[in-house]
Parts: sequence; C-alpha cells; structure tokens
Amino acid sequence: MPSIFAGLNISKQGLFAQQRSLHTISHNVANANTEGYSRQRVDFHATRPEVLPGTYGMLGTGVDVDAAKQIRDEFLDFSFRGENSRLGTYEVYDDIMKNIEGVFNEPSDSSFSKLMDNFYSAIQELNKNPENQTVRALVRQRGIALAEGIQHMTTSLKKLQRDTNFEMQVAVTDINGYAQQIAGLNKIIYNSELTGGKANDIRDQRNLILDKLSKIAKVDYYDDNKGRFHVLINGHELVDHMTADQLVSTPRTSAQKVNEDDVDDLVELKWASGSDFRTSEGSIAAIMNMRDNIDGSNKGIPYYVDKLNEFMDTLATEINNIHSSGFGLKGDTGLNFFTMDNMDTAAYNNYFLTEGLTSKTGVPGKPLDVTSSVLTGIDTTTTPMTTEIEEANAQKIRENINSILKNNPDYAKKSIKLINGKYYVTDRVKADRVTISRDIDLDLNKIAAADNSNTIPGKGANALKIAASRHNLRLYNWGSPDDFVKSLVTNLAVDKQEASRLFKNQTVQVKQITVNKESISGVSLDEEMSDMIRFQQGYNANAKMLTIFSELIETVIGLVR
Amino acid sequence: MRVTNSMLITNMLSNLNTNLNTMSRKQDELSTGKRVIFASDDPVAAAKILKFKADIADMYQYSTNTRDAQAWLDATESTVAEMGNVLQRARELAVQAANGTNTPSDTQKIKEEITQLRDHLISSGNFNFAGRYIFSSHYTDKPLLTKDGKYNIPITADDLVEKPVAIYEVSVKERMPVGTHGLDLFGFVTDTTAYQTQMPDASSEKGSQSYYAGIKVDFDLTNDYTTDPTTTVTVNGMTFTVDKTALNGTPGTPLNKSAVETLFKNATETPPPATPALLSSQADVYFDGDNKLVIRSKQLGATGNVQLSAFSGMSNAVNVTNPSSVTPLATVTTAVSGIDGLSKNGKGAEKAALQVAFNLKHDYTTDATTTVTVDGTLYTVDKTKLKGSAGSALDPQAVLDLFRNAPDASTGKLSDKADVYFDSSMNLVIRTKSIGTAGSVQLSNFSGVSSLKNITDSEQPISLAVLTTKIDGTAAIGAEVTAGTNYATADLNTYLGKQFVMTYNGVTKVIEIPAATTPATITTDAQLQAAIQGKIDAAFGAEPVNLPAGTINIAIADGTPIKFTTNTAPTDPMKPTLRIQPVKGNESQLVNDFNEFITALETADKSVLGTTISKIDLHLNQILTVRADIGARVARIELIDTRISENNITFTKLLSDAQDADMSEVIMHLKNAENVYKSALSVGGRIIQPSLLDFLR
Repeated sequence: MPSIFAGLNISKQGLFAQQRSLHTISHNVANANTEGYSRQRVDFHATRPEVLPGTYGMLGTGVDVDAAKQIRDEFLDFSFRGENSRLGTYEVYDDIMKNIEGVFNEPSDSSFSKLMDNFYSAIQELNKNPENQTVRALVRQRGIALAEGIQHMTTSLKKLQRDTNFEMQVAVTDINGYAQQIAGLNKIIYNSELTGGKANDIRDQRNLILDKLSKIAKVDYYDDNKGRFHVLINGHELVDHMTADQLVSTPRTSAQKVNEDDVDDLVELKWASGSDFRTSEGSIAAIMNMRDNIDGSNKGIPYYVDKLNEFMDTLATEINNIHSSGFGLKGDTGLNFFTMDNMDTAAYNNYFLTEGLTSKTGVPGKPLDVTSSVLTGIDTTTTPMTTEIEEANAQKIRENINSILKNNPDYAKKSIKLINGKYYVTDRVKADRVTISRDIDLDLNKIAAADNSNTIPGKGANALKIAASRHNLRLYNWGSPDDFVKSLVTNLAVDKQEASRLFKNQTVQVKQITVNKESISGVSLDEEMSDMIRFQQGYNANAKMLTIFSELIETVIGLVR
Repeated sequence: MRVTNSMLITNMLSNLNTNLNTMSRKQDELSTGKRVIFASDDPVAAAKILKFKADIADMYQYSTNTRDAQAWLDATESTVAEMGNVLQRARELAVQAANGTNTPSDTQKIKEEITQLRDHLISSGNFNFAGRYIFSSHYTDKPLLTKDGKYNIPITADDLVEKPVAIYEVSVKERMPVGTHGLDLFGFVTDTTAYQTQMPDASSEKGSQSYYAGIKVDFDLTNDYTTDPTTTVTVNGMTFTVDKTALNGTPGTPLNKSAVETLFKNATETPPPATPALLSSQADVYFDGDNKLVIRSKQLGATGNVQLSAFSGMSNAVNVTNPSSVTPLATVTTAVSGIDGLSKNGKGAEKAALQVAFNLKHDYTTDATTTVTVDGTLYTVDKTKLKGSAGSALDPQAVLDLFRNAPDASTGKLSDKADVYFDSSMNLVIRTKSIGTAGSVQLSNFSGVSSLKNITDSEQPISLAVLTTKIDGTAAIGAEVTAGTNYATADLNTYLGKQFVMTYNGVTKVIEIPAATTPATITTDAQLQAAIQGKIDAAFGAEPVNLPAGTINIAIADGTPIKFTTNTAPTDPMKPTLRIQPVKGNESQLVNDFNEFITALETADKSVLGTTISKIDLHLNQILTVRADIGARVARIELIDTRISENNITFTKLLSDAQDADMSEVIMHLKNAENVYKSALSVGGRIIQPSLLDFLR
C-alpha cells in the first residue's frame, strides 16, 4: 500500500497543473487582440503509475504538465503566405494601373482626344481662311495645347515611374529590416529551445514577420535537421539561421537602362553577397514589372511611355512631312510644325543629323541614311503626277518604312524621318519633349497652308492634307490617330479591369485563409472563460482533496494519542 | 468550425467596406450622370465613347465648313447674277445700236453706257468677300483684273485646264470646290506670239541626287554559310573579311538578323594593318523593306563603291544606289551562291574528272541553274528535289540519278558522256568517258560546295572564281529644261513684257521679262538673256529662298532652243527640280468683246455691231452655266448639311446610350445597397457585443 502522504503529493500536482492552465488562459486572454498571436493550450498527462507488488495492480500517482503548446496549422500558414504574395502583386498592379488610367483620363471632356479634336478643327479653319492671321494664331495655340497635352501625360508617366522606383526602395528597406529581425529572433528561439522547450511567443513574432515579408516577396522557409531556420527568396538565402543577407540598390547608369526612355537613376537590385535579385511574386516583383516592363503580359509604365512616343513620333513626323512640303504666307517652305524643346526646324534637323540615333548602349550617334530603300518601288517617272500616284507613293513609302523598321530588330523602337530630302533612321520624337517649332512660334506666316508656292495666299490645300492625316487609317499599325488612342485606352482599360478583378478575388481568398487561421489559432473569449471556470473548479477540487488528506493524517495522528 | 470574436469583427468590417464601396460607386454615377467614369469600368463602352466623341467633334467641324461654304457660294451667286443683269442690259443696248436709225448722239449715249457697264463688269470680277478676292483663284489678295480689264494674275497652261479654286472638306474625304474661277466668267484670249512656242513649257527630270554606293542581296537566314569560301566585302578600296563561323542557320533555327548585321559590321580589314578597321567604319549594314541585306558605303557620290565576293544563299545582288532606276547587275545571273570549276583536260590516257564535296544536308533548290559541261555538251541538272536540310539528308542514290539523268538540249543525258558516282569520302565525282585531252568537265553554279578539285591532274585544287559586283555611287547632276522650238532673234520683241512662272525645288516665282522701252534697251539676244537672268536672280535671291546668283541659268542664242539649267543637286527626289510655265496671255474675252463694241460704236462699224449681239449671247450663256453650277453646288451642300445634322443626332444618341447612367436604375441600386449596409450594421451590433463574460459573475 502506498503511503498516505502520496495522496497529498497527487493533490499538489493537481493544484500546480490547474494553476498552470489558468496562467495560460490569462495569457491567452491578455493577448486576445495581439497581432499574430496563436492561442496556447497546456497539455496534461497522468504520471507514471506505481506498480504494486502482487495482485494489487497499478496505483495512479497524479498528473504532470507536458508543455504549453501553440495551436497553429502550419499548412494554413504556408498557403496564407503563398496567397499573400499574390495579393501583394495584384494590389500593386491595381494601384499603379489606376494611376496610369488617371494620367490618360479617358473618357472625359478634358482628355487628350479632345485636344486632338481641337487641333484638327483649327486646321480645317486654316484651309478655309489660309490668309487669316486670327485663324493662324488659333492653329498655333491648338498645336501648342496638343504638344503640351501629350508632354504632360508623358511627364506624368515618367514621374510615376520615379515614384514607383521610390516605392521599390521602401520595399527593399522593409525586406532588409525583416531579414535582420528574423535572424535576431532565430538566435533567441534557438538559444531558448536548446533545453527542449518551445519559445511559443517568439515564434509567433517570427511568423508575423514572415507573413509581412510574404506580401513583399514570395518566400520559402524551412527548419533544417539541426533546428536552424532558413528563409529564401527565389532560391536565394535571405536568412541563414542567425545571419541575414541584405538587398543593395544601385542606380543604373545610362548604358544599363532597361528601356531607352526610362528616367535616370532607376535602381538595380543585387544581393550584398553578389548575385542578382529575382522574384516572381510579391509587391516588389509587381513594382519591378510595372517600372520596367515595356511588353509582355504585365505591361508597365514604359509600355505606355513607349506607346505615347510612338503616337507622337508618327503624328509629328507625318504632320512635319506634310507641313514642310507646304508653303507659308511669305513663301517659306521646308519648315516643321512640331519639333522638340522648342527648337527651330534647322536646329531640330541638325540635332537628328548629328546625334539623332541612340545606340543600344545609350550613346547618341549619326542617323542611318536609308533613302534608297525607302524609295524602292516609288513611281517618279509619270508626268504629270496624279493625286492617285502621289497617294500610292506615300503609301508605299510608309510601307517601306514600316518593313525596314520591322526587319531590323535593333531599330524596332526607332523612326524613319525625312530630313532635308533624305530618309534617316533616327530616334523617335520624345513625347515628353515635343513642342511646336520655334519658326512657327515666332512667325504665324510660316504656318504652311499652301501646297504650292504659286497658290499663296488663298489656297489651303496643304492644311487640307494635314487635316486628312486624322483619317489616315494606315498611319499606325492600329489605324488612324483616333484609332490609336482608342486602342491604347482600351488596352489600358482591359488591363486595369483585369488587375482590379484579380486584386478583388485575391483579397477574398486571403481573407478566407485569414479567417481559417483565426478559427484555429485565434483566442475565443467564450472558450477561455469556460476553460477558466473548468480549471478553477479543478483547482478547488484539488484543494478540497488536499484538505481531505490533511484530515486523514490528523485522524491517523489522533490514533497515537 | 471555431468562431472567435475577432473573426466576427474582421468579417463585419470587410463586408461593411464592400457595401461602402458599392455605395460610393453609385454615388459617383449619380453625381456625374455617367455610367463609365474610368475607361476600365467598361472597356468596350469606353472605346465606343471615344469613337462617338471624335465623330461628333468631326460632325461639328464639317457642319461649320458647310455653313462657310454656303456663305461663300451665296456671295458668288449674287455677284454672278448681277453680271448677268449687266450683260442683259448690254444686249438691249447692242440691239438698239444695231438699229440703223440711231443718231450720232444716240450712239454716243450707248457708247457711254456700255463703257460704264464694262467698268461695272470689271469691278464685279474684282468682288471682295470678307477680305478676299473671290474670283482670283488662290491669288485672293489680288484683284482679278486690272483697271483696263487685263488679267492681273498669271495664267499658265495648267490654270487654263485646272482653273484652281478653294476646296473645303465637307465630310470625311469628301471635298468640294467652293470658289469660281474668273476665267469661267471672263473668258480668255490666248497669246499667239512666237514667245509662246519658243519659251519652254516643261519640267526637268525628277531629282537625281548624289547617292551612297550600295549593294543589296537576298539573304537567306536559314542557310548554313559556315562551309562557304571566305567572303569579303570591299568598300571604297578597303577589303573586309566576314567571320562566318556563327552563320550556321538551318530551316529550323534561322539566324538572328541583329546578329547577322553585327557580324557584317564587325568584319575586319584584310590584310590587317597595325590597327584594323571594321566594316562599320566605312559602310552601313541593314535589312531593307524587302528583307534584303543592304551594304552601303558611307562615302557620297562617285567616290564610294561596294564590292562583295561570292556568298552562298545570297542571290540577286542589285545596285541600290539610284532608287529611281534599280539596275540589275550583269553579274546577277551568275552571282548565285556557287562556284564555277573547269577541270583541266585529262592527261594521257586519263579521263578528265571533277571531284566535289557534296553536302547531303544542304538545300540546293534556291540556287541558280546548275549545269555540267562534258566534252563541250551542256547538261542541266534538275535540282528541285535537292532540298536537303540539317534534319533530313538527301538520299545519295537519288542524287546520283538526278545527275546521271541531267538532260542536254536534245534527247541525251549526262550518263551518256560521263560517269557520276560518290567516292569513298562521299565526294561527288563526275568523270568524262572520253580518254585523254579530248575530255573536259565543267560545273557551274553549285552552292554548299566547300572544295572542288580536278582529280585528273594530281588532285590540284582549282581556284574558285570570285564573283564580284562593283557599284559606284551616282554623282549629283543639275537639272535642265529646254524648249522644243528654236529661238529666233527676229522674234525678240514678242518676249518683252511677257511673264513666265518658274518653279525651282517646289518654290514658284513669277518672272516678268522687262517691257519694251523707247528707246529700246533690249535689242540683242545677249541683252535679253542678261535681263531675264537678272530677274531670275532677283526673284530667287530674295527671302525666303536666298539662292546665290547664277544657280539657275538661262541660255538664249539664235537658232537654238532656249535652255534653263541649274548647277545644284536637287533636294527632293520626288519633285522635278525646275519647271518653266509661260503665262499664256492676259486678255479677257468678255472685256475684249466690250472694247470691240465700244470701238465699233465710235467708228460706227456696222459689221461689228451686227455680230456683237451673238457674242453677248454667248457670254450670257456662260454666266447662266456658272450660275447653274453654283446652284447645283448649293443644293449638294444643303443635302450634306442635312445629313450631318441627322448623323449628329444619331451619334449623340449613341454616345448617350454608351456613356450616360440610367438614373432610376442607379437610384434603385443605391437604395438596395443602403438597405444592405444598414442591416449589416445592426446585425453586427447585435452579435459582436455579448460574450460569455457578460454572463459570468
């Protein structure tokens, strides 16, 4: 038979166990609203029973506390982080596309297409009243408005690109900070768990940081067989146990620019340990795509800058070609309507002839003369030239230009311009630098309304040719200027709609996982309260047992007397 | 599932947020009245809205244009109607004048009235509408007629045919002349002096500029060039060797154009000097619109030249120097991807033979015709089946059969005179059956061949014939215009006071030859030439053309045609450099007829008075024709105007359909969302508040 004192011991163990549980419950309640906290539960087990000799069997010896365990579903954590990376991606897409859409501001009554309407309407008036200075002033002002409108849009897009770059640097700071925090927590967890316990609350902190990190970049993580924790981004070790790698951002030089028209000083990300930074999901990946992608499925800001450049270059080149073939009121000819940076025609031509073709490494050089190829298949022999032949020739020239640009991958984003009677492969007119030419700015008479110098002043045939460019369905691959704007806006709208839809869906999905996580790990006050009562009662009962044993002992002692 | 308090709160917040978003969206729709606020709200509708907006802006402009055209036509019509009245009155007077019973004072009165009527007609012709002379064609700043009724604007042969007037665009691509040319009202009397036949009325040839010498060739990106003999490009006397080791295209993996360009640009100078230059320093390399590879010297004009040695897979080398006349080169027929080899005659009792490394994986179908000449007989090899590729090699037996069956001009075939077989190293051997010096074998135009040997004579390699094309750039040439008829000094006086229109590189000036003076200052050809030269220099030397004197020259000599020449290169290859159009006269038929009438009244010339009525009738008729024409145009304008207003209504409606919000629907949705929002709030309030805690004590 066991000693009577064994009963006392059992009760003591019972008291301690109930007390430990109550402690944990109070810890749970206290952290009911702590971000990232997982509820804990104290597990009990019966202590090893004493084997009594003979046929007396086993004698229970009381209760023992295992450990306070976290209630947490690792799989949910894992899927939450995966979905969270995607949420970060779509959130950025949605946000930036919203900004781009704002820049285009279509459809509205103050948008870019309105400026184009106004410009072409002024040109029509010029055809009707070519000798009228008021109408010429109108053409000039509408031209300025058009140029400034597209300039403003491009500058806004470039500013957006700069802002995006800044956003990325913030994300880099976050990643670096999180990495260091995780490495620090790893150290604490490792040291405190050496003795075999679980550092529940510190693990919660680490899990929370991982959750946050997963929104910025897609992370993989694992504990190795020695209990060391590793975090990886796209296979690169961000945290290796107690050491953290860091991201370093270095501004790109002009030769390193990803796209010709990128703003200066965009940063390139590298690991401090040397290799390139790559990631496919997470907000930083989306920011990078939006900042750098000129084509592909996630078209970013450069795509829209490029399209605006294409739009303005083609329009300016076409209008310039027509305009420079015409004659001003005083017989001036060969002048451009649009130039860049308010240059006059001579300076503009000179600019293109000396440094008009930027190489892949960003070095400006002389343009490539392709006159003979552009003029292949042109009918120059028929006299007199009929309008049909002129149109067919213009069409053939346009086709030749398009196919030359297409046939030379290096010149895909270039343009072919007629400068001083020759065709050159040059850079595009930059939409953020386009202005009307200084010649026209200074002298209204130089607007070339006449197509022939003996039809000055009364005939506005050249103005009519400029007006016709609006309905030229072959001006762009996408059709007329109106069609181009329409296609661009529709493309943007569809992309934006898609981004919003994905963002919305992803939000719901992440919310669902959060709810599931909460359902498992969250603190339910009702549950804690009922547990509280349970363990309180348990404690009381144990205490009662203690008194009973105490009385038993008193009785035994009383026998002696 | 466990449900915790914070889950309830998270869920409620997120649902409330969704509701608020919906309401905010509906609020936007209500306050803007638009269904599509951002393009992404409905991309399809946004595209439609953009289109309709542009269309409506167009309509608005066209409607303004038609109104302006109408105003112009109305002004023209009233003036022309007035001219009709004047002519009617003149006709009455003519009838009266033809009456034999008029006293001299009657005739005098008629004459005075006719003179007044003539002046009135002249001032009608100079009618000015909103600051523009409406009958002066495009010389809207000049009156049509001078005070004495002569044309004040230069009328060339073109003007007589085209009668150019202002054109308005009244609808997309629909243009309409709104002006009326004075020639239609006042008629024209052609000048018939010798000046008209002797002065050139012609254009020079279209621009022939100085060009960069260049060569262009078809370049097959799917061909393997690595087995070809060394290719060199010679530009401006410097020779560059192209590194072809990377040019291993196959039909499956074509070469990258960018890489091909780079390889050519980086061809190095041969033999290498101390600092070897790259081809790109001397020439540009690019693919043109037809995907042909262009190599063009950077030196302008005749000093530049480009030369390219044989290169398989490339064909049709042509000169790209002069775009208006792309001249096929003489070498085109043989420039194709191959080698010509002639075996030496068989020695002694040997049989002459050629040994060719035959590549069973090469595509020969694109080569020029390959011929084998054996003992003087020419056989043509059918290569249509010789389409080997890296993936599928040709069957050697089939190749042999093709060669053996190569036909000659009549019924013979190659196997009659030669043996064809593959040797142990898989080289193709063609051997004549004639023994000794009588036999010879020759092979032409065969690409993909790396070595060709005469195996008769100690297997000496035959040197490959290098096929070259050499093209020089064209230097600039001046333009020239001459007349068909010879100039004669005897006609010099007919030149004085005349005008001609000269167009140089698109810039047109009216040149006036000095008028006759008393005493005469221009009596010799040299003086005439100097006078005209002076006028040309003055006209083109002024702003904005500023040509140096002597750029355009005129040569006049008795018995030779008048010749204009320029000494500069044309700037625009699309336009003639120089064009001369003499003014065809400056007299108006109508005014002349009136003058004749007045003179006849003064001299009482009965015969003229009798014909005047019919002449005036002709003019009246002409006026009526013009009025009818104007009337027809007004009618057309009105039709267009109606169409525009109808379209405008349609497009405005369509725009509204696409863009505007249906207010009642939006309000319903808003109400609905509001209800949901309220219920969400009240349910949330109820469920979240109580917990077990409230019931414990």
